[in-house]
Amino acid sequence: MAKDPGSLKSNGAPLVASGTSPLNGGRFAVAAFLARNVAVVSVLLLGLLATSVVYLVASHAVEHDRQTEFESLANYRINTFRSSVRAQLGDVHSLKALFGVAPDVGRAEFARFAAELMSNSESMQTLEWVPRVEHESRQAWEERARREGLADFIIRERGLSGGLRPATTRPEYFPVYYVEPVAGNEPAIGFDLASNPVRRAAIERARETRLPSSTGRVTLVQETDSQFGALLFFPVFDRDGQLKGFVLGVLRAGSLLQGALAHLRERRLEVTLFDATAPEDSSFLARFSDGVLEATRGNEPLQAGPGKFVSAGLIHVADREWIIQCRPVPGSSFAKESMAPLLALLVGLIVTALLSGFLAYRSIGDARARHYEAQLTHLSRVATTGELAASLAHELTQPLCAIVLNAQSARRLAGDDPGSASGPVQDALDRIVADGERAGKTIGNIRAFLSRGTGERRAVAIESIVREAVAMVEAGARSVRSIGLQVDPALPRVFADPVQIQQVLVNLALNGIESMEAAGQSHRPLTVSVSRNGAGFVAITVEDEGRGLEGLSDEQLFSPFFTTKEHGMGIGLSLCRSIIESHGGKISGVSSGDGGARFVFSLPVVEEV
Amino acid sequence: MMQGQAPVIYVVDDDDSVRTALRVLLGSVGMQANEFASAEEFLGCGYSGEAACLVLDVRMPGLGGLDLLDELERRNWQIPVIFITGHGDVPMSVRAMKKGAVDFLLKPFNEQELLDAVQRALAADANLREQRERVAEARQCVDALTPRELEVLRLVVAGHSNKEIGAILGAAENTIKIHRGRVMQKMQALSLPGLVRRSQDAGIKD
Repeated sequence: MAKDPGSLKSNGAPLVASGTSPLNGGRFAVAAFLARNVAVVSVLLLGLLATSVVYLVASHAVEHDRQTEFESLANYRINTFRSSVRAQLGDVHSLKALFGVAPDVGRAEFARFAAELMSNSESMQTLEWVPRVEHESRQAWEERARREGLADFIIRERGLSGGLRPATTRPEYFPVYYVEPVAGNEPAIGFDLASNPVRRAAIERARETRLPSSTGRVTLVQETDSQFGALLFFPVFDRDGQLKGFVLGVLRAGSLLQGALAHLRERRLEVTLFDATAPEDSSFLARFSDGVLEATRGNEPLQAGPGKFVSAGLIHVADREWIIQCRPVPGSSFAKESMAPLLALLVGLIVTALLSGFLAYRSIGDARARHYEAQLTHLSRVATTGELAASLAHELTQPLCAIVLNAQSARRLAGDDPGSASGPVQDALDRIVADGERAGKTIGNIRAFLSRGTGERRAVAIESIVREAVAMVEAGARSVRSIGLQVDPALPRVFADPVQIQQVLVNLALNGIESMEAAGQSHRPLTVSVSRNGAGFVAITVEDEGRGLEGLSDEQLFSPFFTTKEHGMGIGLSLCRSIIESHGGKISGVSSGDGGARFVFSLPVVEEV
Repeated sequence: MMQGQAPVIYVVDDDDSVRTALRVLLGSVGMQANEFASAEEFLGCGYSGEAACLVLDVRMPGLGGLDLLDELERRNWQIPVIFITGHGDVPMSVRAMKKGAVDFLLKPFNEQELLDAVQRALAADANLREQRERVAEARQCVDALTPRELEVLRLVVAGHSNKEIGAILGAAENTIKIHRGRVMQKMQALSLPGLVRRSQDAGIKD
């Protein structure tokens, strides 16, 4: 017998057509397998569905959370910055109010007041007073400044070469007259703002509208850090409505951002400031990213259009509009997809795969058990049919034998008696003999057919035969049980047909199991042992702890058509005896000590040379 | 031994009809058949070595046919056995023949097959019997010889002349002649070849 129980064969023909086996694969086997395993398929589909739903819901929720968090952080920044800018504007406004109320504000008063205002403020670069100076009074203003301590004060403008030079003659000048703080702003002092077109445009707007105005981005005269700045012109008028000058607020965009936001811990946002009133290519003011002032120069245009992770706020700065825009810092958790939903997807898929794998495995196990069961059924059907026919043949043979012999004797006796020997009687007796012999030949043919192919006997290791049979019974038995197996070491080989011996073993083992089940002893062990039995024989014992044999003799136990089972045919043990006797062995059964039954059969060993 | 007595056919089969049919058949050819329904019953019949033949079913309740063969051997009942069986196969018949069965018949068998088998068995048995009787007779004769006569017999069978024997045994040729005559007489031999055959039967030759 081959190692693989799947190829167990009887009389050379496969017991189970290979196409029907789920274990053999094949194109249709998969479909058939799925059809038979609705549970596995439904678990697989449900698992995939549930995983997908969880994934979608989770990614939506996570996305929503991220969005909410981002927006909250962004809005906080926008509002913080807006407040900061308003505070700056408020300072300038306050200074403007001073100049509007007081007829003349002295340099020292300005310095005190401005310093007071700036003590609250962190990023306002500079506050300045820029009087309107008509050409006629230019000299008086310059002399006054020199008197007040600015020894080389002169109204200046930027020359073509870029350097500062005394302002050329114009009807009016707007020189930087007071500056606070002075330190660092010395270059600006005396500079005529109207000499520069950008500043002049702002001045003109403020004079015209009588409202504060702001320049677009400029590079400050005193700038050392290459930041962009903006000048806020707050016009101051006298009681007659004449323009006295401007209170000037100087905002440095980078410093403004840093001052407002540097104290915030959250580093995942990038905040960019734009001047929305300016043309696109000159709208960039500064960018503050990851807690650092990242860029102060550039011409990056304002990216319009709403995005998932973009928040922007509008800030009025005098007559201009600034836009502060928040985006995630590249590489931050806002910029990346969250792993959590993917993780959920992965876990879900793995769980689904494991679960359906497990079910499929169990289902294959079931299929294998069914396969074994089918094999056992087939084995026993083939064997039972054979034994049934053999028993019938034997039972019919006996009377047939007597009929033929009697007819022949009658013919002989009739022939011997000269008085009675009429032809018709002899003919009738001849016909009886002929028909009897014909029936005998038919039975002989059946017998020959049954015995054909069963004689595949060879020297085999009894241990492997027994182990395979035990495995078959364990796999095929309805109730789960293990069978105790005791095999003596170094057993000689036996001369036997492995399949037939397994039939015997399976028969005896199943009988034992049935008997124990009938006795309500399903948990009791069934024991199979193999040992040497005197010279020339190996004995195989199958012992159960069931109902026992109720005092039946071997002759009853093993005779055909004798059974104690409700639906039994009385063939199983008869078959066992036929097989074992045809192997030259013996089989017998006795009730064992503690109520069970013990069947022992022997097989002749191969004389090893 | 009982030369004139007709041989007995013992029929051992658990099937009543077959047994009866066999008895009738054997009776129809003038043979005497004794029936037994089991091996144990047959063993109780008290066989005493007369010419016989056993027609034996292989499978029976209790002691089977093959087991009975073993038992016969143990008891030294030398009866030729013809096996009859309803479900014999090749290995079974081989084992039966190995154990000394004369024939193996599958039921249902033709009367002629059985009768032929019985004849063969009886013939073989008769041969054996005759052989055994010859040996027994020769042994009896040898047993009647004196040691001196046995010595003379051995030398005669070995092919020595009276003179040579006399020289070997240190006796006169005439004395040897007298011994030799007595040996021929006791061995019931009429000629030298007859004497040699008898000695062989008795197992004396060399």
